[in-house]
Amino acid sequence: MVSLARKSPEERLTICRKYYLGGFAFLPLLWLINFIWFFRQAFKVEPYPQQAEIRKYVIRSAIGTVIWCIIIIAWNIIFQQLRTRMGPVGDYLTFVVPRGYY
Amino acid sequence: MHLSFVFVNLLLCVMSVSCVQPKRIADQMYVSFDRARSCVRRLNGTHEIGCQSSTSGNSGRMYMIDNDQEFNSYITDTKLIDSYRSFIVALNVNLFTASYVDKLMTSLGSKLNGLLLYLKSSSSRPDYFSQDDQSPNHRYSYYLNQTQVVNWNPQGTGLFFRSFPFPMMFIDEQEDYERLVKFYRQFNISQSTPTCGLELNTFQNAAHTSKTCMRRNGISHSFIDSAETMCDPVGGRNIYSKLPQSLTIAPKVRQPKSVILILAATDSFQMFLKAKGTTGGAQQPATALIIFLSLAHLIGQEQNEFNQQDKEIIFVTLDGDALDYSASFKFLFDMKNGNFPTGNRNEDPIRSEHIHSIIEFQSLSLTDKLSLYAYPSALVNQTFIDTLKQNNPMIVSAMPDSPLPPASSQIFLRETSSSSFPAYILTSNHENELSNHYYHSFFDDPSTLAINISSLEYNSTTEFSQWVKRVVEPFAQTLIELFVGLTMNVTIKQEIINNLVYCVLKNINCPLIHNVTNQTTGNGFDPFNETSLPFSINTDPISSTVTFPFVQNILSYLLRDRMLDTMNLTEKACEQLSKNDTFRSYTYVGGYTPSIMSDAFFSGYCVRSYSRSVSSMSPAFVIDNYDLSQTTYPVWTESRWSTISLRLFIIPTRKHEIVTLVVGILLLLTSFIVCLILRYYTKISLLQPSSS
Repeated sequence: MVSLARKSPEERLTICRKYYLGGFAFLPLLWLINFIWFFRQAFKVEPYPQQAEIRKYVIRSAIGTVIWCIIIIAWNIIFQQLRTRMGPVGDYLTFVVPRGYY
Repeated sequence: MHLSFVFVNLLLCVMSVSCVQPKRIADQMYVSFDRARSCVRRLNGTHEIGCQSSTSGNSGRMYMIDNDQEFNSYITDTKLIDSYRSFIVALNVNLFTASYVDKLMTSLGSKLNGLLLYLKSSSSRPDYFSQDDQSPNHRYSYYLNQTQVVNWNPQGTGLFFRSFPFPMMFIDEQEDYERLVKFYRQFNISQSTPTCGLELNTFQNAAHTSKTCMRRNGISHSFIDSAETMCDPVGGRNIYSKLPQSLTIAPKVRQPKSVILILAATDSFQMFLKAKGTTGGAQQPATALIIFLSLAHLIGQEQNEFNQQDKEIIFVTLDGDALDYSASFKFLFDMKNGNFPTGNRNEDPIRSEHIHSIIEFQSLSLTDKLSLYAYPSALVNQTFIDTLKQNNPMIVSAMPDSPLPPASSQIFLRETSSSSFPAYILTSNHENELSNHYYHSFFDDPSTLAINISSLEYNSTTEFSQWVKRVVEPFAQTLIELFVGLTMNVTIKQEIINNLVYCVLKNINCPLIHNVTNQTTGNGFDPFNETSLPFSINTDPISSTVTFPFVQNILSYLLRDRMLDTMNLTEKACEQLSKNDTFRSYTYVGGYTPSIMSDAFFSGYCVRSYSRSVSSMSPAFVIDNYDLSQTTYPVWTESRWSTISLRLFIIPTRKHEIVTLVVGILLLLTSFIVCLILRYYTKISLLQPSSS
């Protein structure tokens, strides 16, 4: 297990930045993890020089996660409601084609 | 060491006890009815019809309704209906009408989880049982539009074409009914005793419409899963055959009005079907098919006369007309596209201007009078009708331009605007009502033709086969009079008709089919021993429908070139003949003695015949980019399913269920306590808390 307490502040900043940049590759869970893991580092621990940047990354990760949540929930609702009304597109987008009902 | 020895002994004892009883406990809870018929899902361009159950089956408390009084008392017994979550109603088949089913559905609502019909005994079958419409094949727009709508099938309930959200099954075996009643009476005493429950599983894959289903058929996500077929298009084979000497090969040009088509159907449908069961179809289409084949024999017998004429008689069987005439549409589609006849392109295609007339045998029963319909009156040859009536006094002609019964001819006329050729339909009806009480149902079996099927032998002369002889001979006589110009008596040996009746209605693995097929590579009809010719909805791809090889082999044999009957040819010589001829087929067979006229009998005969078999799927499935929701052609499909089962089980009383639950929870707690005790107070290393 990686323990942040044993890492130097520069190393912590590097990890946070890597997670933040990695999340742009359509990986919202990375942003979520970033937010949860570094939350204590960003807001609860006594200030140290890199904390400002870490705080910036954590806030942006949180925003990114929320945006992704909205997109995923919206698509989920749209697909479930309009699957049968989209015509052939609905069937081609369906991964497991339902047997026995429309 | 000592303790593990004890454990191993205990394990062996338990295994030996459980292995002695090979049945799983789950199986011992249910009583299965394996011979039940079920209703399945079919789709067309706009609707789904039939029944559907949930994936694991529909179950509910069984309630048996035997007559009208019990029905009314059940509907009004709100206390009983409220006390259970779902019901499976076992209904006497006499109560299976639209009004009873509707009343049941409205009063029970979603609590009606299934319907099980039962027949008490084969002698108590209802007088009328037909789930087709009152006006068959008239529900959608696929028929010849004559303004008057006639109810040819007035006792039809129309239930076949409705969609039910619950499964429906039918018990038609007397033993199954007796078992069912025994359990029901044993357990259905009052509210406090356990009751019977039924589980019906008829899960169907298809849903919505043919268009949706056919689209879903092909969806697969490459390596992740494979495409699963949900439904298959309805269609079989249209078979046609004629005398092999009458060919119009280039550069010869076909004359207008030189082809006569004789039509018969090879399919029917039934609302309740089972895998290895009778399919009905004795009055329609078996009777018509037997007359059709006997007529083919007579034409084949008198081929020398016919060959001198420039007219051809083509015998055509259509498969798939029971559902909106799909086969006729396909046949006419082929004809319009120059694909009739298929095969060698040098044979001049037949188009509507070449057709002289069509004659159809449809819905015939063992009746004293037969009706002859002819349409349109402007093109009808009155001489033909008069000669026919003169030769066979049984025939009564219908009024000119009277509405036609449900028949494939309707589509032949419709697609040619009733302006090219007349159609003649021979049918059994009385005052615009078909004589068939079991139209399109599995009750339409040989007993309706006064045949005792259990005592029928290969060469039994029955009242029915004598009737067939009385119908076919005058008909052939009339055809000869009109198209050859000779007045002669034609006879068919009674034996031939007896054999056909036996083969079609009792056992297709009969000596007749052995004698007309090549048996050197084995008998293809062995798997169908002791089964009658199946008349049900065929789907494409055809799996094991034996109807088509049976009909094609017999039809082409009966119309064969009889000159080869007089020649003693070897199989090699027969093969040699076939190499030079791309229009006709050659097979080497044992020979069907009753139809051979010559005096010499050989061990094998070379059969030169002409027959073609083409797919009879609706043109909708054949045309590229055809939108299946269009209504130009019918688009029937049948769903696929995996298991169909009917099981009976006992629903315990409320008290019993609670006791079972409480005992189970106590057992759970006890096992926890026992494990804890064993862990902390013994030295068995398996149970010690881990140290790492």
